[in-house]
Amino acid sequence: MEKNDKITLIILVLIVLLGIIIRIAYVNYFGSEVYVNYYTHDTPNHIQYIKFVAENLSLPEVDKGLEYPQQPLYYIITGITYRFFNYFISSDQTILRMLVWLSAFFSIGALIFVYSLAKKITDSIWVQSFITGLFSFTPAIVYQAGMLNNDSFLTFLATGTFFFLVAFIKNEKTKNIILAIIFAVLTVFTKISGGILLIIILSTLIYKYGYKKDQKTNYKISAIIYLSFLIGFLCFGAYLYRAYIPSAGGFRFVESYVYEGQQTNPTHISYFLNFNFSEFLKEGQAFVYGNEHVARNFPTFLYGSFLFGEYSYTNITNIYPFIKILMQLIILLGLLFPLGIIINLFYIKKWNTVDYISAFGSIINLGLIIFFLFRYPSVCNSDFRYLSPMFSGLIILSGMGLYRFAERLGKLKFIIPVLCFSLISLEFFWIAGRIAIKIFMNI
Amino acid sequence: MNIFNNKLIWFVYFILIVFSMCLFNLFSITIDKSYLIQPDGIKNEITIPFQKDQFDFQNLNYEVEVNSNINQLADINIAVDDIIDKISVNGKEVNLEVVKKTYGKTALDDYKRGYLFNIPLKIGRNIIYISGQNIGGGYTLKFKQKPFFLIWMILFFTIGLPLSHLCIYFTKFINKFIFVWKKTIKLP
Repeated sequence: MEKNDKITLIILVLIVLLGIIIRIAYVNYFGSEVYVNYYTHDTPNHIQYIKFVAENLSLPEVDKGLEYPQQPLYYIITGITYRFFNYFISSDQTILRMLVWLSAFFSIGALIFVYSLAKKITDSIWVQSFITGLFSFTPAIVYQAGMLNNDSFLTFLATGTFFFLVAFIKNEKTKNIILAIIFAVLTVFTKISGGILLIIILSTLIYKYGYKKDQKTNYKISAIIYLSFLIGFLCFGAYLYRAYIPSAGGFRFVESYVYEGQQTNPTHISYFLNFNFSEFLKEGQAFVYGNEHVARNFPTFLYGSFLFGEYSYTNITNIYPFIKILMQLIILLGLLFPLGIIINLFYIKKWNTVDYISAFGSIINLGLIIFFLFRYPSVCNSDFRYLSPMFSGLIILSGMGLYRFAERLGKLKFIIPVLCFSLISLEFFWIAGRIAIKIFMNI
Repeated sequence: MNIFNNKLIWFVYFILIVFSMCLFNLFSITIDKSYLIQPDGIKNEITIPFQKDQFDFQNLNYEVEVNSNINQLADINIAVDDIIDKISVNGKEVNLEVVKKTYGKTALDDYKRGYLFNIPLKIGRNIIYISGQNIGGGYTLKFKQKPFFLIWMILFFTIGLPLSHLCIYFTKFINKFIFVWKKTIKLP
């Protein structure tokens, strides 16, 4: 190994290690307050689902609780874990705290998958660092580690699916595609939007083996495609069974409403096309009940919730104004993320299979969110976390877009990596600072 | 061998689908007759789902005659506007406490969607007696079976087999299209 390689490897490993430490620290200081967790408002409903499974060892009817229509895998795992620990520990809070650590474990797992994925898709060390760093330190992604819901588990499974699919694309080992299918099926049983991953796997197989003359490969791949379709139908069947309410004569796929104070207007074109960046920069946060120019505008809120989630930070920024300045800098530099995706469109002729599947999956996921918004036009339904199945795909698209753009800049190409490193460093300082404020000031 | 032209495969699929549908039908129950029993004991025949908009009675008593092809523990969704008090099948009372405990309820009052009950049915005619209360306004009765999960999945599996086969056939068309497309615009 050359000296340069060693240094670059150290940088990458350091980013991953810091990401793990940040998650552990975050869960240690925030995750312990399960019922009053700062960054989740529907925690009691998730706890209700977990306890239902723990007490009854069965699944609830979909219409009897706010979170009950959710796919059951996460709640089965946590419910059984809850029941198991309940034999030894009587404190409800202690067991729930242990379950939050399970979320942290999945979040760390997802981070390791992203790191491995970044190493597989590019040799450029700064792109690898950007992809891993963005996942390591972006506050909204770190928050998932301390939440008692299925988001962290979903991100872990979806990233795993993506990793094994990319591994299959690179080395064509059957083992990888089978693992990708297993992870995708588990994702579907965690959240139905994970179905996008099964569609991506099928599309990749069809795209990659477009027209192979080799009969042996053809049969093998045909068998895998055939099985994927069959598994897909079975997953869909199980989903329909659970969602069916005989007395209503219909299905309940989700439990959502148009929440008071959160109404949006998706029928108005400006809701989707305007990007109120200056307003967001001034505000420094994308609070779900906050400034309506930020919250009630799809691209602005999507971007805002990608960085800091859908929460208010006024209680901290009022005391420590420098935190707001740091947030504004992150908002400014964070533009690299959407810009990377947009810039990548100009290099579509250079796209490889990974770019295509990332773009394809992201478009479907985004389409589903837009469809959902027309049905339930509420601010919280435009949260970036609904893109969880495609987190890794979106970050890859952005990273590769910035890389391709930097290559065009000649002598000035160092600017892009410098900006990328600045962004992930600021994000690290922000999240570390937030944890420090919690430790020393208990805010 | 082109498996899409293989008549035997399609014939096997056909048999499997017919078999699973027969199985599905075997587990399905039929409602022969249903009545609203008045306080004086007079039975008025009703059609399920039943709805009346006037406040006639407070104590509601319904009788539903169900025909089952086999002995089974059927999942039946029952919704009474406003509260279910008692359910008995062929004279034996169904323990409602299990459902109440499951959902942490003191009264089964989800009048819109009701609850899922495990109802033991014997082959042939079964009499299900449902009593409840109407607190105000009109009153309703909804009574419908939810298919047994395993049977539902067998049905989905057997339908999924030929559908997957057709999807593969369809992808072969797409394959050819992509092959031409790739050559035309020189994608990687």
